Amino acid sequence: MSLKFGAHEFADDATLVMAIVNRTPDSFYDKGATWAEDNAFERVGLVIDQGAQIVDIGGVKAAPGVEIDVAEERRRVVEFVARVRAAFPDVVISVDTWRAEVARAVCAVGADVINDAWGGADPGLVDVAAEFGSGLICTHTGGVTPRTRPFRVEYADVVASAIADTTAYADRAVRAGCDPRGIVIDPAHDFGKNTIQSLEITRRLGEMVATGWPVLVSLSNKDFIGETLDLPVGQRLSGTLAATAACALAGARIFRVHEVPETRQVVDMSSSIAGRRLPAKAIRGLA
Amino acid sequence: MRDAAIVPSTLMLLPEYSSLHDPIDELRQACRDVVAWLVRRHPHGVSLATSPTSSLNVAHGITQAPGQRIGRALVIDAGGRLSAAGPSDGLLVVASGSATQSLAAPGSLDERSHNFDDRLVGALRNGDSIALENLDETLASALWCQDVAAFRALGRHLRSPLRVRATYAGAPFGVQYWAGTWTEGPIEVDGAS
Repeated sequence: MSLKFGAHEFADDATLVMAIVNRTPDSFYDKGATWAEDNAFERVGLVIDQGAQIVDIGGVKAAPGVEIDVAEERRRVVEFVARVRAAFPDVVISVDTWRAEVARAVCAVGADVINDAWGGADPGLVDVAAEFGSGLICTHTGGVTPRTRPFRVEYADVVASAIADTTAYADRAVRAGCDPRGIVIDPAHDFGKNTIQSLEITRRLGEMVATGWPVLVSLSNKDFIGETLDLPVGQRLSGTLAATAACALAGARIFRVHEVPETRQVVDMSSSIAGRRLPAKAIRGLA
Repeated sequence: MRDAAIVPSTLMLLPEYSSLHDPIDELRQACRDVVAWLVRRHPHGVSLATSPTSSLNVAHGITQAPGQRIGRALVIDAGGRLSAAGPSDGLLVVASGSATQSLAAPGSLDERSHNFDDRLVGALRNGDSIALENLDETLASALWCQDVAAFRALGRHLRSPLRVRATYAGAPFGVQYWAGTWTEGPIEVDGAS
């Protein structure tokens, strides 16, 4: 399926890198490196140069912590989105929020995609996406409350649950008037899941791809990688790239990441192995 | 003779959630010891006291409470059996305290958890059935303690006077775990007691 986020269209065989840009002082990986607006703006320029087609701007870290109300979240992201829109008209701007009120504000200043990382916790979000013609990332959290860690969450079949919930959310978005070409499903590794479950989601990602909806994976430096390899944050790049390769082979379309160049190479290599992408230069033995 | 043992309700005790390197090796051994003690004293079967499956997990198609699966696995592993003929005098309680003891805990830090767990451990160490039966369910829920029903079942089971033995107490992941035994009779002198 071809992808369309706002005015930005991508072919049905395109794989996209979505670079994380946090407007937070306390996210788990960058620990506030782009909390200052100018630093965040510099990162946007950097990741675009590195080949990211999408930037995903977030104002609230996923983990529990200080309460960030709507007003503060708006302060963190709305003006910044407007600044990025003005400076980089060709990049797709995604905003990571579960709140319809914030989504409305960022769409009004040029955001192209709403990344609802908490799986429809605010039922009004789809209406905002439909009203502005923005894309929507439909994630699976198993019904947990936003900004909570999973605690003894179990599933009879975690993949079946992820498929049922994300496709139901996607269908709801279509009924609300969203363009199907802008709707993406995301199994949401680590969200409402333990490590065993996130590994199973990775192993069986092809089942989500088989739904026909484009699949986004957000794997970058997450705990399921850290627990699998017994490595702390900061030492999880190899594990992230291994999981990225598995998901790329299974047919994922969008990769939400911290490290753009490494991801781009792994996705391209995996896509070529899968026969979905031609080599950049095939000369050896052919001259 | 009435006896009871307690192990935590952590899913890490289930084989399907095993790790290459056991993150709870000391706790697991303590659980094996107290269950082995209980099984020896009740070879005809032990009963389980667990809490019901959470509504979230019921919605995910989970039909059997995790405590039941944990208890069954430990009892069978110890060579015992679950009581088929009604409640046994040997009760295995599968329950944990709060899950909010640190910033990294599943429920993050709630300062009330320490007082909650201190009072709970006091009730366990004293075999205080009244305190166990009167646990504050609202506070427990706020502190991510999901096992009020199991603690209350323990309270109903215990009768004074008791000999109490705690073999493990700790919160390595910000979740309060205990392993221990209660008995009306004399304590065995062996590795488990």
